[in-house]
Amino acid sequence: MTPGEQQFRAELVSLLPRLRRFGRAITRHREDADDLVQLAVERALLRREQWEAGTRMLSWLFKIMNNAWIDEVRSRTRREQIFAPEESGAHACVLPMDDHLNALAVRSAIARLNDEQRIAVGLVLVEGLAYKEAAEVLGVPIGTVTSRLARAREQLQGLLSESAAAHPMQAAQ
Amino acid sequence: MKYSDEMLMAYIDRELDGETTASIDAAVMRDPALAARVERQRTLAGAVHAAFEPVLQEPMPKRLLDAASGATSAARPSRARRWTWLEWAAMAASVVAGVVIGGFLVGDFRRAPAAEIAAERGRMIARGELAHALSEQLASSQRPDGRVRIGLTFVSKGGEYCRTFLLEQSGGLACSADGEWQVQMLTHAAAAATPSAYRTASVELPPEILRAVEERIQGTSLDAAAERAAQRSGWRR
Repeated sequence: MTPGEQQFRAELVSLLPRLRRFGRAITRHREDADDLVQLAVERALLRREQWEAGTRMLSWLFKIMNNAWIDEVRSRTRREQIFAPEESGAHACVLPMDDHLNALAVRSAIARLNDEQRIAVGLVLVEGLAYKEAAEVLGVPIGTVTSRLARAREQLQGLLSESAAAHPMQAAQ
Repeated sequence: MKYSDEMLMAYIDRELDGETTASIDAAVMRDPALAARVERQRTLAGAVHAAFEPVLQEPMPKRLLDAASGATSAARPSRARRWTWLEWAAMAASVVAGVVIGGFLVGDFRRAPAAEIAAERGRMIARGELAHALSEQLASSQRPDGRVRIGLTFVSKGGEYCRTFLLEQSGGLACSADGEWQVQMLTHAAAAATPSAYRTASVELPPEILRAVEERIQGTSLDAAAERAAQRSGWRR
C-alpha cells in the first residue's frame, strides 16, 4: 500500500459515518444504505486517480453514491417498505420518547418523497451541503436543487402535520 | 415586501447574500406572520437534521471498515484464507464487534477456528463444523458436549434468522444470508466462564454478544417449535 493510498483510505474511513447517514436518508433501509456505502467505497478505491486532491472528498463520494443508487442499487433493494423495519421495533429507541417519535415521523415522511426530492433533502438538510455543492453532486443547475428542496419541504410539512394530527404526541415539533 | 417560500428556505439555509439576509432579518422582526413562516421552516429543517443525527453515533459495520481500510481487498490470494493482522485491526476499530482484543485473542485465534470461519469479500462466513451446527443443530436437542453450542435463535430487524453460538473459547453471532451463515460478531468468551461452564445446560454467552442480540432482535427469540420450523425452511424467510 503506497503512502498515497494509505492516506486516501484513512480519509475514506473517517468519512464513513457521513456516508452512512446520507445513505440512510436516501435508501429507506439500513442494510440497503450500508450496501450502497460499501459499493461507493469500492468504486472510490477503483477510481482513486479521478479524485482531485484539494477538492472535497465527501462531495465526490456523495456523487458516487448518488449515481450508484440511481443506476442500480435502487432496483434491487430488499423490500419495498416505506417504513423501515429497524424503526418499527421498540429497540431503536435510544432517544427520549418524544424525540424518538419525532425522528420516526420525520424519517417516515422523507421515505415517502420521490427520489429526486429525497436526495436533495439528504444532501442539503441532512448533510448540510451548500446548494452549489449539492448541484455539483447531482450534476444539475442550482435552480433545480432549490426547486426540488422547496417541493420536498412543502410535502414534508404536509405529511408531518397529518401525522401530528394522527398522533398528538408528535405535535410538539 | 413579499417573500416566497423558496426565498425563506434559502434564508434558513444561509444561502442568501448578506444584504438580503439582513433585510429578511429586519422584516421578521416587524412581521409576526412572516416570523411564523420562518419558524415553521426552521423547525422542519432542524427536525430533518436531528432525525438522522443518531446514525453518526451508530457502531460502524465491520464490512464497511474492511472495505474502506483495505483489510481484505489489499490482498486477495484466495477465497478462503486465514486472518491477517489488518483484519484484526479493523475489527478492533469496529465498535460493533465489541471484540475483546489483545494478544491473547489474536494469538488464540490463530490456533483456533480457522477451519470454521473464513474471510471472504470482507465478511466472515461460517464453514465446516460451525456452518453445519448453525444449519442443523437445535438448541432444544443439542448434545451437551458438542464442540459448537447454539444459544439463541431470533429474527433480526433486517429480517434474517440469526443465531448465537459458542465455539470452543469463542462466542459469536451469525445470521443467515444468501444461503450462508455470516458471522457478524466473534468474541472471546467471558474470562469468568471456564470451559466446563459451556457444558452446563444453559449456554452462557459473553455480554458483548448479548448486547449485540438486543440491538438486532425483532420481537423475542424463537421458541423450540419456531426454531424447528425455521430450520426446516432452510433458514430462509
